[in-house]
Amino acid sequence: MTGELTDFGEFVHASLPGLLRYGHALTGNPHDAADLVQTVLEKIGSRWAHVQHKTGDPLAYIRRSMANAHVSRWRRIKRENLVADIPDTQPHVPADPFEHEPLWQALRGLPPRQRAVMVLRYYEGLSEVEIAAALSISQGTVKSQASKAIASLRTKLAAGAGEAHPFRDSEGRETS
Amino acid sequence: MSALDDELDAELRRLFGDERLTVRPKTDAPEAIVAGARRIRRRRTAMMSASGAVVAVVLVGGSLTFGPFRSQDNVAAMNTSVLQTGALPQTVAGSVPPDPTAENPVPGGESPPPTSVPGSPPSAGKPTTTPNAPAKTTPTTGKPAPQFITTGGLISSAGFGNLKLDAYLEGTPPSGVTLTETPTSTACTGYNFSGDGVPGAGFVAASPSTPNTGGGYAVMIVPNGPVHTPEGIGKGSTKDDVKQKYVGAGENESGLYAPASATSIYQFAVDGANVVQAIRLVKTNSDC
Repeated sequence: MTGELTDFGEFVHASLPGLLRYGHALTGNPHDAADLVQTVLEKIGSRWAHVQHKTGDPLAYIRRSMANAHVSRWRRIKRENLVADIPDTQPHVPADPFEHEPLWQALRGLPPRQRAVMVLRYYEGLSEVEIAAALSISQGTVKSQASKAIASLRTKLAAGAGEAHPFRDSEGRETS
Repeated sequence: MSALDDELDAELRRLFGDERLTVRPKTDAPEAIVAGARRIRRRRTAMMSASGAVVAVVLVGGSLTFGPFRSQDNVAAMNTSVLQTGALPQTVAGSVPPDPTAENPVPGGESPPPTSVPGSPPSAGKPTTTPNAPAKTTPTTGKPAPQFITTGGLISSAGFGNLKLDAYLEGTPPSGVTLTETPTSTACTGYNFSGDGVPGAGFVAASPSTPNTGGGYAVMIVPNGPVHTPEGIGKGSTKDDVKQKYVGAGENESGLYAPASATSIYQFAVDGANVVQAIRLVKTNSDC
């Protein structure tokens, strides 16, 4: 067991920065990213030999697990316990660096699954088929979720633009 | 794709490639994560080893990736407490020592002794009827008799079609059942299932491997579509229906459950109107 966890520890050292960055994209803020990464890695680490044996690419497996965990509200219930158990594992993080990015703020307003589809598509570069497999949903659902997400982003960005430009209508057209 | 689509695509790619997404980990974070993994493993090993003493349910929040409970759009509208078994009286983590060296493990696939699921489970094959809960069924209460739902496939204490609770999933799949491993963030292994051997597709979790027991046995079955129990509880049943049908049904801040057998429970996902939306079958000593 010790050797196995030593190996897992080396994996964590090497992959933690990338996973935290990915978690940031998934969750929308660095605090939730840290929590998500910790939660998933601890559980994966508890069965590390099995994960290595069963999956050819543990890192990809962990990323899919993070996407699924983010979509689930169950994680939020468990998180409290984990954080309470290990209060000193949160990374040092600055304030939201995207505070003034309208697109980032619009993404934060998406439901978790729509956001996960966006991240898998634009961050990981997965195809619809691959996203469907990763989230265990149908390809049709991936399409509809992506479509809803894009429409929602457009609406929010247009509304934001409207606020910034009071002489334009909700679609960005000049008004008299 | 319109120019606007192209523009948004490009903007999304730029955003997700932005250096400001970088989060700097604490220097001791890797060690803390490894310690957390070790703790989870020890807890699991201790639980598996304490066969006689294990009396509780640990269905920790790891049930993250399970079937309809994560894939339905209306999940956020559901009672956030549904389908957690935290209401059950005692947790394994609190009932057994964390010593991983404990011997006498539960042989894989062997059913443990009866657990602490509240109340008496219904007799095999015989629905528990409302007279067992007179306070809830007396006509003076004005409550309607529970609907007998038969929509969808049948899920019972035995399982779902040919997919049985306790089935060993790492060997030959059950007849007519196709299993595809899917990532989970839990200690359990997850599979999506489908095929002629089951009434419908869904998700099944297999017990985690441990040094002593191996694992790989079905401990949680989560059909994707609507299902009903032998007692006529299914999608559209109310919380009151469940409580009238099952002696021992309970709920807490985490949700609604009812005993399926001495070693398994049904868990019900209910929406904001307390109407059952989905059901899953869970082994009460599982550790996912």
